Amino acid sequence: MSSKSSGSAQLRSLKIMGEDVWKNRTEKVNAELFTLTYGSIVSQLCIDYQRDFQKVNKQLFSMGYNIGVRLIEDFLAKTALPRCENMVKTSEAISKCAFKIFLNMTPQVTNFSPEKDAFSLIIDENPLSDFVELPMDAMKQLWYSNILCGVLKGALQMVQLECDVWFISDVLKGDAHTELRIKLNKVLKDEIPIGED
Amino acid sequence: MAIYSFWIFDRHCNCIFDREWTLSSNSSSGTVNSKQNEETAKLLYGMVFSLRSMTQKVSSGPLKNEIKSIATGKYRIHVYCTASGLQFVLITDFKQQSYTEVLQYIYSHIYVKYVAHNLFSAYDFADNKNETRGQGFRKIANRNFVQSLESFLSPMIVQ
Amino acid sequence: MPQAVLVINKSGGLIYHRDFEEVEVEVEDRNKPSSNDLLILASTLHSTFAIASQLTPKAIQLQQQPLPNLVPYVPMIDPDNLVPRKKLGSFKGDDYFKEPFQNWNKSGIRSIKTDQFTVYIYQSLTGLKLVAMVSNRSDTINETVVNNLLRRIYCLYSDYVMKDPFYSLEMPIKSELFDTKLRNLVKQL
Repeated sequence: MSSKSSGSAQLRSLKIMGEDVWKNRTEKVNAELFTLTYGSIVSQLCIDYQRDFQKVNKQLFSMGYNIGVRLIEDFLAKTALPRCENMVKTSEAISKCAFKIFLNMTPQVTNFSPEKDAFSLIIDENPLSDFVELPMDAMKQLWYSNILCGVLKGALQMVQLECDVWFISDVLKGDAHTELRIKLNKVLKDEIPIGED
Repeated sequence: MAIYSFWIFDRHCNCIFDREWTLSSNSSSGTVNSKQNEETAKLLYGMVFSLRSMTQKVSSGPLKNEIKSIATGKYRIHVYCTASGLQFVLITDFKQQSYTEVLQYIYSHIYVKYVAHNLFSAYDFADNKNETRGQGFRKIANRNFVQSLESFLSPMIVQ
Repeated sequence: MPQAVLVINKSGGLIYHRDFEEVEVEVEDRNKPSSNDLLILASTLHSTFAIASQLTPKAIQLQQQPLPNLVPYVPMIDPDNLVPRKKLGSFKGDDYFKEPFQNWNKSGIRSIKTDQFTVYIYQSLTGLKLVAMVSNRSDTINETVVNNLLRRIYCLYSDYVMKDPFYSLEMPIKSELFDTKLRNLVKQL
């Protein structure tokens, strides 16, 4: 009982921290500019790869990966969060702090696997895909926000969590909601001995 | 203020004495010169030695710059080096900043009195003059030394 | 005012080094360590850092009591009164952070004290180590103050080094912006 209440207290404090950092400690940029920039990246990639959407997906993922490995330092510098002991805590930190600080949204965490090493993030309003409608051929194959998968994979890798991240469904493809799945493969133990994992 | 262990290293890089207190509440717990601590002794000596040579390279000025203490998140290591190549090492908790006087006292009153001045005990604990590889060396087994060390440090073990 | 700041990457290689010397030091006596010496220093620190966690005495292992780990917050003072609303990169407000924080470094080396100076190490969750060498002459500088300073340097790093698209990870830092900002930050100590 006491651990449950301390768990919810921790959740609340993560939420408060995320909101505090978002409101008071980050410089902001115009959201339309952001959406338009991302949109132009995706459409240019489609043109460059001659509408081979598998390649575009891959390229978006690797771009996201490069962003993620650098963004994690920014996240840690702003929040100084201690190491998460398990994936439950990690999922809360990702949804309540990280997404809040960088994209001003809090995706819902659901669908935990029985071993608690995989979970889904349900995104209600995706700022990357405001005003976007996919053409018919792209609808079948393109994961528009695939950059997010890359960012999460890169960032988690830098804190020694080797994960697989992929989209399950996307409203742009006609599905009911946008769902992202994160699965922990292993913890990279060749880490610097500073604390327990 | 809790002391966890005490070590003495000679100039041949060997550990010639070690005393570990495993239960900080009980001053007669722990081991003296145990074989299990040999690996730890080597690691400890290696760490102190490399940090010492590194700080001496970086230091400026004519005065010798000796390493005094190394702190981690869990414990603190205090080192006292003598000009004869002996190193007295104490691993403690964080309550006290400096144990230099303690280590100096141990050197000047306990070690010098019972080991150096004792004509029956070796002054150089290696088996032969050319010993360098940590194979043939003895440990201090002098009863008077151990006894006086215990009586000096025991009051400090209690948390 | 630290004497020097070093940044060591995950694999133990030195990627940044800066000396901050006060003017009164006699130049003749100081034998400046060569760049090779510094590389050796960095890798020595990196490896002894790892050894230190293996040397945890048995008494602590048996105790299993979590030790206090919180670093209290120390605000930045501004003696020269530089531009009142200085821009702190992507950090809004007048300081990088305003609350006490958990020290990520639990069982690695935190500080090495010698006769002349003390070396403080701050490690991030990603394995990056920030090292500050502070002379023992000043009384006001203690571990808390230096940890706050090193966290601020980490914030600068996350801004000016990580966000530079032309910077490859784990490589030596050549960014002048980072250099300038760091010097300004250190002056304010």
